[in-house]
Amino acid sequence: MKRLDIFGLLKKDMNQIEQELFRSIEGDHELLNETSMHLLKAGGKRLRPVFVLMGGKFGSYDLDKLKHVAVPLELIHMASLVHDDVIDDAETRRGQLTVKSKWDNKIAMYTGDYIYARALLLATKLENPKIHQILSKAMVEMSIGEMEQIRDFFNTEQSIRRYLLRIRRKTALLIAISCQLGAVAAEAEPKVGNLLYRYGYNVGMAFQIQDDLLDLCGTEKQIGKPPGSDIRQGNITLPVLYALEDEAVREPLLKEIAVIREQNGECDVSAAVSLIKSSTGIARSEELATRYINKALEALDRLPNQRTKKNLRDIAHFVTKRSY
Amino acid sequence: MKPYRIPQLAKKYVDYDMIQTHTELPPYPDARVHLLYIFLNQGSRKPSVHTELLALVTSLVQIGIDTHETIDTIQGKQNEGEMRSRQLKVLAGDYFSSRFYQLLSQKGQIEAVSTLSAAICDVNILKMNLYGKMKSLLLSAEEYLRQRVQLNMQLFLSFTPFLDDSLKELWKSLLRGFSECETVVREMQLSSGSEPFLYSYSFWHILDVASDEDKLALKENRVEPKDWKKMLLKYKAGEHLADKLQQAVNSVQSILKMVKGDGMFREIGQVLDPFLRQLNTPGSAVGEGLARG
Repeated sequence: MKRLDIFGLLKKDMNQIEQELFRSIEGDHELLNETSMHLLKAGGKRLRPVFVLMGGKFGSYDLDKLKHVAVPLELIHMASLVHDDVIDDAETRRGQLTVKSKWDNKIAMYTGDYIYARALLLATKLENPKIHQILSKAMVEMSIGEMEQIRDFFNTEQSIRRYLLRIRRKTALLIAISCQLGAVAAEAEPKVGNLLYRYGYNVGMAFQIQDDLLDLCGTEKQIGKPPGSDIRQGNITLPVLYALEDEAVREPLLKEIAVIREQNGECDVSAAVSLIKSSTGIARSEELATRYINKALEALDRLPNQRTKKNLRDIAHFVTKRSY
Repeated sequence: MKPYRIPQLAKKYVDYDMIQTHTELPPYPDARVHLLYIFLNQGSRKPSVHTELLALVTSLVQIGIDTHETIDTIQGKQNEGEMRSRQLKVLAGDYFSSRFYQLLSQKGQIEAVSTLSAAICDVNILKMNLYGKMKSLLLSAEEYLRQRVQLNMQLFLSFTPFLDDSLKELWKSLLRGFSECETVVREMQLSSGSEPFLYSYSFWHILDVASDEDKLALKENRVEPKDWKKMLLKYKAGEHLADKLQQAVNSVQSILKMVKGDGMFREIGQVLDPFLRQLNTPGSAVGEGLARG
């Protein structure tokens, strides 16, 4: 996957953030350096730091301050991915071996914990307690979201509302606070921070729905892992829930999901994926993602006029059109 | 000083139903947490230090780290229960860590977040080192135990700068003693499993003293559960650990004689009580073994 590079305005600063990301986890331990940088080197969209810097544009923009929010947010996201790969028993991510796969589960746990602690260490360079209160609350919610996701594995009767609450915790919150914290660190007006939070939250919701769609409709090359990974592990996403509301596929899809569960995901899931793709689930999910993007754009309209708004608008559009 | 109630305060976070349903958590580090609580109360350099909060969050971080330590490295297919257990271990550790950050942030204790985060980095470096030696079987039982004790002390040691200078040496000595006690008791539990367990003192002890034939079988992972039980008896692993516990308890008792103030002496004595009971010592800590000379 490549880094988002549609923001000429931030290119120079994002390069600095990129360097800072590497610097921040570099230590004296050779293996820990290697394992920590493994995922970092694989690239990624760096969406969270981008949002922090853009949020910062609405206040007194100071890269030295903002990097103490932008870098920890990306590191926290990375640490959670390293641990997620142990949870999902994933072999590849971003097209290359995961830490747990290249080394083992223990090394992945130590690496994730180390990156997480380095992130907090860097964040504490900022003394404003509000920043830490916002960030830590989101982290608690993220953890709860992950546990709730497991509670709902293979639960084909869960409500759409429950799914939305889950992705709010799992993805949208971190993106929302990325935008908000940029504004808080740059001492923008609280109202601006709140609007940015709303923008980020809605973009985050759309982003996760798009991610769930890509897991079904993308190719292995595009998404860096085999398609159908979610349903294989029992993660019932929005397109599946909508497909289950479609009478034309409900019964055969329920049967396929039951087989996947029985076989612990160690089976061919292509029949289930085809059923979902043939249902109204894909179009309805795309529609909901677009609705979230529209809400994000509404929040954006209420922000003070400045150049960054165009960039934020571009990102919002990019989220629903992306193929990686 | 408020009565010690940190385990009850931690319960609120540890008792999350998904964690309790799907996996087993390691023991609560009660002795070290209680000791930290006593010392922060007795000799904190800062009058406004949140003693209960610091002890609580440190316990959450420790239990998070210990939970992550129990993640297995088994490759291949697992049943649903095993899979959920592993997943919840990962998430429980992350959840406890996020709570530590949140609880401190709510009270504006950013310095403590920094202190504990630095200590978590150190712990993971130590873990990587130990794991590397374990995997290459380059470890003696003594070295294994020494490193485990160090690992178990590390988070708590980070609070040394928070204490009055007059208490620092006593704190470090007692922390080491109690960390030894807790580590050995944990090792006793780990050794009672039915299979050779790489992450246990007994494994390394037997590798130190066993016949060449038994050593080879262990190294090549060819020891059946029934043979492992025999090995534990033959090489007196349990007796060795009991001796280690006795030594650790003796060491704490002799350090305790240097404690000034009856209140503190009694409090610390209570921390030692469970270990004395473990050794089947009759009477309570303060009553007999710990009586001042």
